[in-house]
Amino acid sequence: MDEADLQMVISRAMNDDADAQGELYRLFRARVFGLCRHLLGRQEDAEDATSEVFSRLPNALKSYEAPLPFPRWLLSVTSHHCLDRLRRRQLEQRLFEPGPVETLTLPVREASPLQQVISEEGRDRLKKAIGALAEQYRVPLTLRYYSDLSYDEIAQQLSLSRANVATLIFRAKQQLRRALEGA
Amino acid sequence: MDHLPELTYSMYVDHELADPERRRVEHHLAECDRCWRLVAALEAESRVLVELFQHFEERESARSGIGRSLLITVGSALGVAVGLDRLLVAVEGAAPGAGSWMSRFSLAWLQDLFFNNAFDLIREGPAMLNALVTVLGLLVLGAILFGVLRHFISRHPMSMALVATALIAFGAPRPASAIERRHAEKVRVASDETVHQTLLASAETIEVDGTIEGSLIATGRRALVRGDVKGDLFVFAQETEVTGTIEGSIYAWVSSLTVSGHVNQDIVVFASDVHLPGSAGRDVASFSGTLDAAGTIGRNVQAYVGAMTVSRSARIGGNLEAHVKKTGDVDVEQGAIISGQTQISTEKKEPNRYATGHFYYWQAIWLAGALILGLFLYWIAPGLFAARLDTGASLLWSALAGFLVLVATPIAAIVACITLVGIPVAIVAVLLWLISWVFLAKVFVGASLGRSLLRGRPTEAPFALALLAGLAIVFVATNLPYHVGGWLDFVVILVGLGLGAFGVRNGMKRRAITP
Repeated sequence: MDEADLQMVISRAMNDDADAQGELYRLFRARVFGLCRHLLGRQEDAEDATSEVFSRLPNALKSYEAPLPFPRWLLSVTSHHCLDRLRRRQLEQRLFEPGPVETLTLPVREASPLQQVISEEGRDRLKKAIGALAEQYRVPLTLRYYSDLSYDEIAQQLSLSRANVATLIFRAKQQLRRALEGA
Repeated sequence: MDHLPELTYSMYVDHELADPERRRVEHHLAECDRCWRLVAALEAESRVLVELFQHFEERESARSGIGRSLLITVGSALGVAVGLDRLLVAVEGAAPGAGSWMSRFSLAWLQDLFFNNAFDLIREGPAMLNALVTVLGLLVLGAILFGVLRHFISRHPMSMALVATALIAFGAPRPASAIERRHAEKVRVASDETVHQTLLASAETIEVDGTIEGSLIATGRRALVRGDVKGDLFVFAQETEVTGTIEGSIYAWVSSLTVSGHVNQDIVVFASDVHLPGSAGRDVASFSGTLDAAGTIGRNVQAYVGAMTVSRSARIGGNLEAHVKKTGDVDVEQGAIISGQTQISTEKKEPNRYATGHFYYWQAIWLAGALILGLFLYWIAPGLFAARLDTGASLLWSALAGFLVLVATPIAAIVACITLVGIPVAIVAVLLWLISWVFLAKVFVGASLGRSLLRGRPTEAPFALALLAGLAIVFVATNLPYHVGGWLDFVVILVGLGLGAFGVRNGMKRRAITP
């Protein structure tokens, strides 16, 4: 499906065309689900969230504006939704406390164990390590590498400063390295 | 030269540095080999992460196809259950219940089978439950073993070779010592030939004129035994004729069997037509369309047949026990000698339960009751239904939890009750408790099933619709004929109790699951 076709489907979906909405579901379910899976961690929650995102899509589409690429918009709707869920899960706690920004110079290492993750076994371990990350690390990491958001966009979504985001992503990677080294 | 913080490099790799800082990094990298290697490593790391996240997406979404895993799970469980059930019936063999199952494929025959099995179910319920628990236990054991093995293999790729070797070593046919195999278009043991062991013959035609000192296991279209078999004859063939001597027994699963020779021990046969002009030293059990007994039978005859004739030349040393449709289906000719008693039992004509309105009426009432109960529960405690059944693992866990609830809790309750309120009250309480949970189990499984099936749609289906759909499936499934419904009912109870237990646990924590 090319860009023009997609735009057609979207505008039909915006006019409450059930077929077009179904088509969007078919096209984007996997990507939305993947993001939910990463952000929420649990398969069932991810499925619930996915179906909620799509059940609210007809309404949400009203806020979609054409110049923004649709997949990007949809993923941002999805991550907002997932973050809401995470906050609810945390009983209204603040998920991301803006902590002190990392400034000290860290020891420089030669190579990263993460780059050696090429074998299937290593991938499985890395996947598990990602799943085991605390939410405050997993969420920014996912938004960066799955949704391909910039630090600024992530900061906006999480109500944090850009420097906080940089630190969280950096620490997330550190934790992954540590998890792989320790395994 | 000053190395920059690793955080800066990390941001650089993510293209998140502002221009002046980026230039500073690039400037430093140009002259610092150590930092350059670090940045290269960080870049590789980013690539791995991007690729991994995408890879993850593909695999996860493939796995979570709409209700597919559920369908596969339920389908294979059903397959296994039916397979086991058939096996059980086959092993049961001589038991009355399995009776006429090889005879004729007619509506009446199906009906018979159903009734026989229904009686079996009542009579052998406890034994079946026992068997089921054993099977469940074995399955769990297998799953655990599989998990451990998988874990081991994924950790140590080399161990795969080890496991494969072990499998081949155990699985490969060992050099035959006591069994000789012959496989050809035609297998013949000539009259001057002696096979000194058990012969396993598979061929279009199998002819034995000589002597087999072991047993004969024959599969083919046609089996002719004119010689001498010292052991037993196991035969799976369309047409089997024995004119020689079998010193052991005959176990036959054939279309037609004719024994005009001598069998020293028993004849057990599943067939369309059985002719016995020869002799059998001990018992004859025939599950067949027709049975024609014309020779000498040392002891009893048990016949589950469409029709049977005892010819005038027949000599039966023991009892004749015939199970037929109506008394006229047994023809004992004048001159035939039956030393023991002749007992002809006919099937009671009971209406097929599926043919009565009563049955559907009550099912509808139960269904409505379950639906109302489910909706009520959902209304007061939606969190009870939080547990889901999407994967084989969740099914297994629920079943395990259910098993614990089913077995452990009543025991604990009885122990508690006996000391507090006395035995009779305790028993009544536990029975009531079990019955209500057994009913609730259906509600939980129904809700779970319905939601999983309806989940694939873009808009979330209302709970009532999902519950109704799920309950309908559960009610149809647990009412399937033969043992299948009974098995499924038991599985539903286990899984439902497990789901209920999980639900109670979750329900305390989560208020609502739908917005």
